[in-house]
Amino acid sequence: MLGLRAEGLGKEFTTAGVLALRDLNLEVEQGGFMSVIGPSGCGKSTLLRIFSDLAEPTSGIAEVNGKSPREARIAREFGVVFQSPNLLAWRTVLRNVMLPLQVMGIDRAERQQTAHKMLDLVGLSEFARHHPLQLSGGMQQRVAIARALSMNPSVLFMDEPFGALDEITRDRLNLELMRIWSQLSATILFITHSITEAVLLSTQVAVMSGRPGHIHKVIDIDLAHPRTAETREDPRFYKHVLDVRRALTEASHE
Amino acid sequence: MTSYLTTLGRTIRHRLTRATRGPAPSVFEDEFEQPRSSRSEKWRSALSEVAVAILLLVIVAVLWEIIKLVTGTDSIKMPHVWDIVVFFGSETSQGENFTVFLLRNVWSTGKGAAIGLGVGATCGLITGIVISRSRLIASGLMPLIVAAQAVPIVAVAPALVLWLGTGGTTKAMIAAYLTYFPITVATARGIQAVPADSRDLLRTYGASNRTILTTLEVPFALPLMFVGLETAAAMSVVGAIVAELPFGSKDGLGVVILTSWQFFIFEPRALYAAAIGACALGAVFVLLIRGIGFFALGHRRQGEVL
Repeated sequence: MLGLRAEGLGKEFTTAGVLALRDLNLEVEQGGFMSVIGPSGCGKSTLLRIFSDLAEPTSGIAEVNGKSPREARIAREFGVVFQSPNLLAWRTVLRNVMLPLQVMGIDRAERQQTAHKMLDLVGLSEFARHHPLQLSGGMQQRVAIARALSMNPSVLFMDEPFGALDEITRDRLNLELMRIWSQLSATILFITHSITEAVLLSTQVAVMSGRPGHIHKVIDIDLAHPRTAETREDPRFYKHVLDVRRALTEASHE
Repeated sequence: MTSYLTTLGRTIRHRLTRATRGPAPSVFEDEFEQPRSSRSEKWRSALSEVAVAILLLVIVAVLWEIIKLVTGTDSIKMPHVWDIVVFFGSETSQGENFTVFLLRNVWSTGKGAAIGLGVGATCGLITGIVISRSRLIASGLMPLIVAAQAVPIVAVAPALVLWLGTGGTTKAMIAAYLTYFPITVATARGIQAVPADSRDLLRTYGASNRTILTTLEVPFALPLMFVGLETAAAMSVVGAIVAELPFGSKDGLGVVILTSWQFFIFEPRALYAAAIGACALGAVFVLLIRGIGFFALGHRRQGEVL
């Protein structure tokens, strides 16, 4: 069974008359980490929204763990992290992480325990009682990741989660995400604008081209795991970066 | 007094610079910002607000006396401040202490205003939620609500008094009518300001519309709703007083104002005292709402949209 599958996926925004996706095909193995990279407005976010049941495709099939996105959502098999952390300012960090569990109707003791565990995982246990606005942007995003993980999803959708952060913070969070992913063995679909980020994190990088959006090329990244700060100095890392860059250039001239 | 004023000045200056500079942007991951408004800071700022309010009252009194002196206005039009203060201890024609008499009427007005505020707030909250739900309902309903606000309530009040009588019902009705609009608008605007991503996130957790309303939308809109409530609180007092103005009313601040006005030439201080009573009632209402907001909003501030 595949973690994610899209076949002949199409999405048309009829009111705006925009064809966002056409005949998009994609396969991600369970436990795989796929980055999707492409020019702005090529439909990357639309793809993620279809997989997470926030938008419906106009044609084709999308599957999460062999189920339709709706079934997968009802079975709570995936978590979503957006570019903006979207934390609730009036709740403490801990209660923000508990939010999905609260909606799911899990009892208080258990949701507290799980939330503490997740905060531990992202290294923010000591900030459980803080309010989100007392944290830096990077820490807020880590809380958002902890919140998405609290449902114990087997699939994680991330839409440019580190896009609004500075380079230093982003580098650190990339490594952090690698560490978390190695502990969880979840399938991750990661949307980004950064080539180096995509290469460092992924087992596969899907290069998209736009108008209408489809997958131009999928590049396997065969760098060893676990990936660390040293991975960035590996000559093969640069080869992959070049490959992705070339594919992106082709995609935008298509 | 002087040292107090310097401290006050320093506090205000400090708060102003902090407000314009805002929180410092953080560059490094583990450098976290100071709490933007901690509980103790909120208490301190509440205390200095009270100090400023008292100071302003003193300034108004001094200005009153200066204007009286400079323009040479006689004591019938502008009685001395201390004469007005003394008047609160005088006796009415019924032999009752004036302050007691005034408070009795303030209570009657306040009761009507409070019921009206409660009714108006409940209706406004519901309308605000409905409006925020549907663009169609919003665009159809808003012009009607705004047009209704343009009706001069003073002109309609006598008709309402004939219809509903001079009692508390009329007071509450008019107070509710005036409070309804600001709360409706504040609720609708607050809910409309909820980021779409936050709503989407809750949907992915499988949250129902009701759960989204109670865990996200209403808490998010709360600081704005309290701004609407505060405006509404002052309006509710005005509404209740207007309801007491038509002929036939028996008690309330409106009646006191009207009778004092009729006897203004003989006793001008009564009208000013009644006006002070109305101001005080309005202030108490606003402060009560602010007090509730102080606790309900936790570490957030009124009007803050995050």
